Amino acid sequence: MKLTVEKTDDGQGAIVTFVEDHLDAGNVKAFKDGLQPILDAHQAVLIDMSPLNFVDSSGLGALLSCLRAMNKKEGQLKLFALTKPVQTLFELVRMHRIFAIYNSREEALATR
Amino acid sequence: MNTAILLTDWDDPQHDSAPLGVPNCLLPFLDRPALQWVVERLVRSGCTQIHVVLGDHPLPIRAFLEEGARWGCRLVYHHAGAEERFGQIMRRLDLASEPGYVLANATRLPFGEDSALFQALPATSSGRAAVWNQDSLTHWGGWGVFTGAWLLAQDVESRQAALEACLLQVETIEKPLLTMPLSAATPAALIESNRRLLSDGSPESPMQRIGRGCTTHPGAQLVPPFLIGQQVKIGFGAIIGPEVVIGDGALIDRDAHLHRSVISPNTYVGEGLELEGAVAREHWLANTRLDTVIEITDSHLLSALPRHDPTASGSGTAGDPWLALALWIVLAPLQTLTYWQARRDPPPRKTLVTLPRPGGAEPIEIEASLANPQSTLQDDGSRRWARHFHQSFYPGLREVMRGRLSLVGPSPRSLAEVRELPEEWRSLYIVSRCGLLNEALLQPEEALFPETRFASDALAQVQHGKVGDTLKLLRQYLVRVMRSLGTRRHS
Repeated sequence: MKLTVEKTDDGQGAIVTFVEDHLDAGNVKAFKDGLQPILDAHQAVLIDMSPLNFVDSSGLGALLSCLRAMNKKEGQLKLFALTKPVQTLFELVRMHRIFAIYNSREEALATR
Repeated sequence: MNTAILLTDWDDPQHDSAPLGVPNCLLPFLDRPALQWVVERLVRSGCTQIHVVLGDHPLPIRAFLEEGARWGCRLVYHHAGAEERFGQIMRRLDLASEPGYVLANATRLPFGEDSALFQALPATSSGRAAVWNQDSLTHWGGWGVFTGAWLLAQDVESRQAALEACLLQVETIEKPLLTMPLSAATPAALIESNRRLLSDGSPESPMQRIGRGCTTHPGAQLVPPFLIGQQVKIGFGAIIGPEVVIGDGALIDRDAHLHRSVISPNTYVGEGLELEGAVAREHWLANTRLDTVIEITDSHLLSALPRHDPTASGSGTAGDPWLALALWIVLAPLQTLTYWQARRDPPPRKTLVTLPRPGGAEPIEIEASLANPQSTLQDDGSRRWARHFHQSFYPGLREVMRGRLSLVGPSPRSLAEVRELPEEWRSLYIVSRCGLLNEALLQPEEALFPETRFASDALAQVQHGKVGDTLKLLRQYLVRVMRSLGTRRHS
């Protein structure tokens, strides 16, 4: 799965952007494999969710496992710019209470 | 005034007229579809013939209304093209110029006292339109009584908003002021309309209506006002209300929180879900706060429940026997391995047990080890899965191939046991075959309270026939069997 990665200004974090518009059983393994080295190498990872229009339960599971990995090393995982369909699903399964979710990249970067 | 014109697809085209998979007028106001309220109101006002103008989604509306005998009126259907002007459609209805016709939008319903609307028109009047005020603006409620001549003369787009702009300017049309009508035009309007209906009684005694045959776990919390339809099941820890309407036959799984929401009939709401300001229908979910509708593809979150039809044959999934045959072949080596693991166990009892079959079909006789698979899971925890596979699951595949059991279904129970179950639980066996696999089988014995078993059987009914769910259960089961193969017998 293609992900674009940029460093934050302080070099400690990474901003990851999806290239595909869905995260489901078909690409979730590739997503985890692609994201794992980034999680390992950074203390803060920000994921730009704006391209995603569809996430299923396996996608939610993958995001949860990323969150667990970051919590384990006391790092931060932030999601920003969720589309309405994805936000609806997050609220439905109450995951909006578990993740740090921000409206925009600027808001996510400004919050420590 | 004995003829009405009912426009079923007449709302603003920028809103989807069927965002939740059915036309908006078929979504519920309390215990029945908005369209039913509309037709009942028209009949009550004296209409004996209704011209039903169908739009983009004609079939479900026609299927619901049928020919009108059950409503006490005659229905005449007309199909209108998206580009047809209002006057063109009216000309096709063969209207006389003088009498008054009741014009009604199928997604709107006058609310409160509305008898002034249906009185006979004076000779000088072109019509009468029920209006309401909001923010110092006057709106038309979508219902009115008009002369045929006036209707035939309106060369406007066939939308309520277009006719509203026109009729509000006409002085010969009376405009009695009513309260805001109920509306199912959007999910947000539907929720608000249901809220108004729920609160229609006195504030001291908010509506708390629970339909026949409902099962509510004692650990669930019901906060009025609410309306719960017939045969609804609500699991442990669920919080229902305030301002919640649940349609007949819905299943609300444990720990789900519903607030200010409308759940359509026969919809499954999964464990732990939170719905606020939402309309759920089968696998569609409208979130009014975010103004979006999504399709949920995970059936364990939100899905359609099979409608209870006692006359159905309950023949199950056509693919089950083939999948069972494939599993029979693929899992043969595992059966050999489990035989070695379980060879010192006492063999299963050879007695026969009578199992019920769906749709009132003749009961079947089946070996006890298949009829009560939990029995092969008793004791000796480390190897019990291998024994279960050897004595219950693998032999059970033969029964699936013969069409006597399903791969996924309610736990096998003897006829006598099923007769002892509560009515709603028993009803699962009326429509579903017993199955080899379900969630209860995979739970530790100490976690299996009656409500967990019931929820599992009801969920199995949802999962039945869905290959994804079958494979998921199968994978979880086989992982347990494989793990137990490596363990040694306790002394």
